[in-house]
Amino acid sequence: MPLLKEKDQQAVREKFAKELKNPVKLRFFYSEEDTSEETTITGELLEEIRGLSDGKISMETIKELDGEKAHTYRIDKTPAIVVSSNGDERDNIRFFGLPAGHEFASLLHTLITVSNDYHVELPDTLVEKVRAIDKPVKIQVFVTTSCPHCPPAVVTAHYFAMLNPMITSEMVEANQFEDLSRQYGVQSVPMTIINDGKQTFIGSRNPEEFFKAIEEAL
Amino acid sequence: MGFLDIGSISSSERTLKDTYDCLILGGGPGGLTAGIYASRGGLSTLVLEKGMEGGTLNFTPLIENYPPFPEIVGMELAQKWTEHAEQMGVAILREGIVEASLTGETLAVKTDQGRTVFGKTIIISTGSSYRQLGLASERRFAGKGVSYCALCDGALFKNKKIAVVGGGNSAIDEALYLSQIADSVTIIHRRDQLRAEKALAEKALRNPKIRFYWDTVLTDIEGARSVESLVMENVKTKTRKREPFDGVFIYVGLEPRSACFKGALEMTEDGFIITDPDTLETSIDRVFAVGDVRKKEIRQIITAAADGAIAASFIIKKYFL
Ligand SMILES: Cc1cc2nc3c(=O)[nH]c(=O)nc-3n(C[C@H](O)[C@H](O)[C@H](O)COP(=O)(O)OP(=O)(O)OC[C@H]3O[C@@H](n4cnc5c(N)ncnc54)[C@H](O)[C@@H]3O)c2cc1C
Repeated sequence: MPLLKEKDQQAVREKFAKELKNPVKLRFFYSEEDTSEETTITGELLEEIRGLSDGKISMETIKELDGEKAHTYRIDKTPAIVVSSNGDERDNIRFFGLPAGHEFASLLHTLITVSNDYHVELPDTLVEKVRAIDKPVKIQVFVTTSCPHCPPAVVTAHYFAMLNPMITSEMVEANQFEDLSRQYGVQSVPMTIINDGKQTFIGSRNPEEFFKAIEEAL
Repeated sequence: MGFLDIGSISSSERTLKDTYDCLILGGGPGGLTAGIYASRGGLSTLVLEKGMEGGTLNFTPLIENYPPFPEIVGMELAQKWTEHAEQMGVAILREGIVEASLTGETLAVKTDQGRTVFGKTIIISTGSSYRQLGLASERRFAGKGVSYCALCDGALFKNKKIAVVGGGNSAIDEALYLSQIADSVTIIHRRDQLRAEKALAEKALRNPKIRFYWDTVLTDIEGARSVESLVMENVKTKTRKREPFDGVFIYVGLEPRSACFKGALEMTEDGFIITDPDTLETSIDRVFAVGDVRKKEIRQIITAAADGAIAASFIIKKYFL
């Protein structure tokens, strides 16, 4: 049985037909040791999404966590998803964990934005500032899939990564990566960690304020 | 597979008018229903929403008293409501109001994107958010074991021992939801019985994972980096106790989202907007308030929806016929 209900399939198909422009690439990483249900479902979900895109979305499935590809794409845990435009090999827009519930909206919106030449919905003045960052930045946004506040935080972080390859943005589903969540003391979501803890904030912020936290972390 | 959110992030670009017959501030049950009635009445209608369409519904795990749905997940009701409004021609703009100018000929609001939109009439439907207890330690541990959103953070307390403070409908709703995740839920309530509706209260009283500390108030929250224990006082016996807990969810009342309108509109001391009880017009002509943000006795989904219908219908009758 498909994961997406008939009605949802139809809604996604229509959304894709209307909003996808250029080909998009989904890279799905899993490992054989990881037999979690989330990982299996993530693979199936992505496959279903691909099937609704009229050929616009292609998917590559990569198995070994210690293999060359995982190394190249800096993947250290699974399930992981890397989204890029089909022509480039970017690895800085990432999802760790099953993007279900509200995070499904983050994933769809990310696919659509990447497909539209990475055209982000941010004010021009902010776009310039994000592009000017010349040091590596890593943003981890911890979420739960039932959190209505979380997608805007994920999308803002992903927007920054789309604008500047120096910035890596990751959605991390807090429950599926318990150790990591414990390490950062995640007890409320969204919780955003910049450069492994240089800056941390809880809650959804508007893009300008989010960016200030990045500046402070540098 | 459970619920999948398909539509909550969508492109906000659309062609906007300068002036709308009816501007609606907030897209919860009150605002969306007002939109449906205004739009069907032939008014050009724009709903401004800073978060998610459906408002507080999105944060409610399960609704059991909005007919004709004996049981509906809040999110699902939010989506149905939004689809309905959009089908009726209601335009929704994903921007928040930061300023309102309610004097002079045209009413105007400024959004967080720096945009100004004008309205011939305005319906305020910004709802309410949670109230804090007001403890210093509550602020210190916010996000570190103190939470106001069970749907968001509940999943992080799997098999943990948590407390819920409050005894009204939302406290009990949330305690029931959390009992499915946590090891145990202790409801700390300052009275000796629940204020929540009977059906809900009985469900909680029967739940083996939920226990109650009656006549008890939370006086302090302690811990090193996150919540480790709660200090409580029995209001009758004045005895204090400290007990280990992993987290605490607080539902002790509502805080109206009316700050933008302070000084301009008549309000209660707590900030609830005062309206005419029959027409829902505020102290300023052509400005209305509906739902949780206005002074009223019963704050529920169905009463917010009813408010929306009343205000929009009256606007059509008084200002557009
Ligand atoms: C945990 C919980 C459980 C509940 N359970 C039930 C239940 O089972 N049954 C029931 O009938 N009721 C329930 N309620 C109450 C019910 O949710 C509210 O009465 C109802 O949602 C009020 O509707 P509203 O339209 O007035 O406001 P809301 O639903 O709060 O909507 C207000 C909207 O305005 C937006 N907004 C606020 N400020 C701005 C701004 N400046 N600019 C733009 N937009 C803005 C908000 O983002 C929000 O979307 C519950 C409430 C809670 C908190």
